[in-house]
Amino acid sequence: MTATAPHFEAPPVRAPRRSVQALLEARFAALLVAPAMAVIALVAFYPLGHALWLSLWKINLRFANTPWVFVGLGNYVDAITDDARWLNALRVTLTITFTSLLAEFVLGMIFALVMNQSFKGRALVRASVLIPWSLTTVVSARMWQVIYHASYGVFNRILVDIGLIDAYKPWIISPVFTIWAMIGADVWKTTPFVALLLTAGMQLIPGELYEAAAIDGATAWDRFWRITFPLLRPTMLVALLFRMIDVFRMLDLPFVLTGGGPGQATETLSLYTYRVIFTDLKFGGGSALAVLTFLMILGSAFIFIRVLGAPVAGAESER
Amino acid sequence: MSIGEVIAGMTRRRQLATFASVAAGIAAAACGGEDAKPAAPAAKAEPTKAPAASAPEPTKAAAAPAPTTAAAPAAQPVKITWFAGRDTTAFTPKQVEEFNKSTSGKITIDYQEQGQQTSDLRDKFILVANAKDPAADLVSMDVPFVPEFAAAGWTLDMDKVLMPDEKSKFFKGTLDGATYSGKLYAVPWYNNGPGLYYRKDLIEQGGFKGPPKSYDELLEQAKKLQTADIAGFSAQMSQTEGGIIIWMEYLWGYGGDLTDDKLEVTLDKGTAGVDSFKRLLSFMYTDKILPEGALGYKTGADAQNPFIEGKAVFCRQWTSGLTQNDRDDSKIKGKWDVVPLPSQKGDKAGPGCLGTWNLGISKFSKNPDATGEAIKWFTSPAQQKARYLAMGVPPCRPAVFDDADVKAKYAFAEKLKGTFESLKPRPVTPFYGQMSANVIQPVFGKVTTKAITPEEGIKEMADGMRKIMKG
Repeated sequence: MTATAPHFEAPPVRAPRRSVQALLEARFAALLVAPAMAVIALVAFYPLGHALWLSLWKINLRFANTPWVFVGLGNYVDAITDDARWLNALRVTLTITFTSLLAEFVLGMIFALVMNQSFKGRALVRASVLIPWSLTTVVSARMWQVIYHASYGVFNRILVDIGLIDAYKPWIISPVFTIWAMIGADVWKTTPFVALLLTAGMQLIPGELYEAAAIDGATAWDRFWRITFPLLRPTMLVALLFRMIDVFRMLDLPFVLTGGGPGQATETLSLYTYRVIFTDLKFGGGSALAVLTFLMILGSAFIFIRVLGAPVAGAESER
Repeated sequence: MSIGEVIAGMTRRRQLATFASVAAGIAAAACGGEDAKPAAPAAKAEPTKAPAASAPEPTKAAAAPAPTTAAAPAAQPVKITWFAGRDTTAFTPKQVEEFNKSTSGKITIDYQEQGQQTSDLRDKFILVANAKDPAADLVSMDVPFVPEFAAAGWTLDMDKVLMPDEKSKFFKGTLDGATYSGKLYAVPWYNNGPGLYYRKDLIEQGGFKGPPKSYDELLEQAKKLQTADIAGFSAQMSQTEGGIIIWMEYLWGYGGDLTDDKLEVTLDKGTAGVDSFKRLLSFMYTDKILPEGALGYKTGADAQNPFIEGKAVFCRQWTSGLTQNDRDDSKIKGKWDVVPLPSQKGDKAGPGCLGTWNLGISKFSKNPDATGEAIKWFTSPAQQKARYLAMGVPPCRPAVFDDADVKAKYAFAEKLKGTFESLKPRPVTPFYGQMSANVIQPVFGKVTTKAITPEEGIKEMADGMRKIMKG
């Protein structure tokens, strides 16, 4: 992608008249990017377009030789107006997204502040913080399954030992607790990612600012709130954006940890979509659900970038 | 530290780096939309890859037969892939090796387990079948898969594999479970039905004459015999196919059913549905003979483990698990026995669910004949006997129960043979898989965790099943 840079930056410098050389340079740049664009088109736009196409049909594989029926936007209308299970999945997904992101940011910020201090063994702390994030989700989901286990889970043992509960409880089979247990597992796994990004952002803040503030008599809280926080805003937005995208299409954790249960208490949009396609064998309706999820993510990303001004290409004013 | 620096460096060149990474992020989001997308990419990639991967030998041999192998005559070696469920005893792989040896290289089976739970195998097979991919030749099938796969046109009928005179040598119920609209689409491979495992020693100590015959007796004995350390009852109560089967057995026990013979939903007629749920809820929450942890038992083995560890008086488990009771680390060797399930009134054995596993052939297999040969071998009397003796999985052929070696090893074989004649299949419809996964299992989960009442649950289930049957 970096090869596109001259193409973007050249015009303002050499304006108003483009020399022949600049034109040739732009063409050469385009040639260099072409293979990358072709790969992106193949792996991203083609499948996306295919899903869009499928979503306009009623396709049911239940019986051999069932013809495809063109329904236009019918699958979308059905999902939004007449699918209580999709609405439930949306509610579950939004609940997880908001709470997970909030918890990850509060905890991630604390970790980042600690990791940003210089102390002996800082490298060790940073490396160990990363461990949860480096585990495959399926593995960590299995691990949490054991931790939350109703008969021999260590989570139960700890709560009983400190006297919070009297008897072991089936945490991931309860209509009330399950979703929170799942959020806990997700926060445990991805807080390091947020912490790492925030640490990187903090390292960009010049030390002189803090020195000057300290001389002026600013308290630690003031220094955090007036210097760290505002200067960290671009990093935070990027981290939030990434996490939002990840959480919103969460599939692996509920798939392994709870199977979406009990009932449909932890069935996320992706899990429901998967089931419409592979259990119901409704490929058209399922594609429509997948596209809806994609559009929601795209919309949120747009808000992040354009409205909140997450620092991505084009948002020059951020500097 | 180093990673932190890399990222820090990246952010310094913020404009470029963030552009690149956000582009990557959006691509990832696009792929997120793709995660659940139909098998289009697989369909594109696999057919070209799979034949090459699954049968490299024959192609080579065919391309250059003359110069290389003048000595190797006649039939070309064939490799077939078996999509199988999880075998916790690891006996099937051994059997596969034996088969591969027995054909002296003519047919080689590549045995591939497709996941822990039954539904994993189903999902994987649907993925390849939908792509018309020849990656699977032989496929193991639970009873509900048979009509589902047959209706979708994904499996071949068994006319050439199982001859009519051979059919009469199977339990009729197992063949019924492998039949869809009058045609046999799989060969019964091994049999399975439920039994009530119980602790002989504890029942004697408690002064009871024998194991319980009715639900009330089960409750009474379990309640009396259980201690702080030993649960009264154990059963797989999770929101899985295995869980809903246990409920269905109580539903049948109260005289109800999901559908009638014509596949009309009859679940909400009468009180059997509500009664069966209330019975299970009272076991768990009122009388507390069934620990709440049972809601997390995802497999029959999960339910059986406490029994083997001496921590349960009774256990409802598949008869395929019986030999596990005597495994090396068992704490109950010689202290257990098994009887048919109890019933509501105790006058006869309670209804049990047919849990046969069958073997079928994928329609997209490149080697259906070789696969048929393999199925014949695995379902033969000799192999069913070997399987029964080695891992306790009961045969689908009644004659094997009368075998002298079997009788010598399993004292309970005779008793079991009778129960296999009366097992009940789940509704035989291509919609069953969908009804189970989308309606019956989630509602079962909600009722058993008390999120909704049994009455609400039965209504939701019946309505949901009707909606699905309409297509």
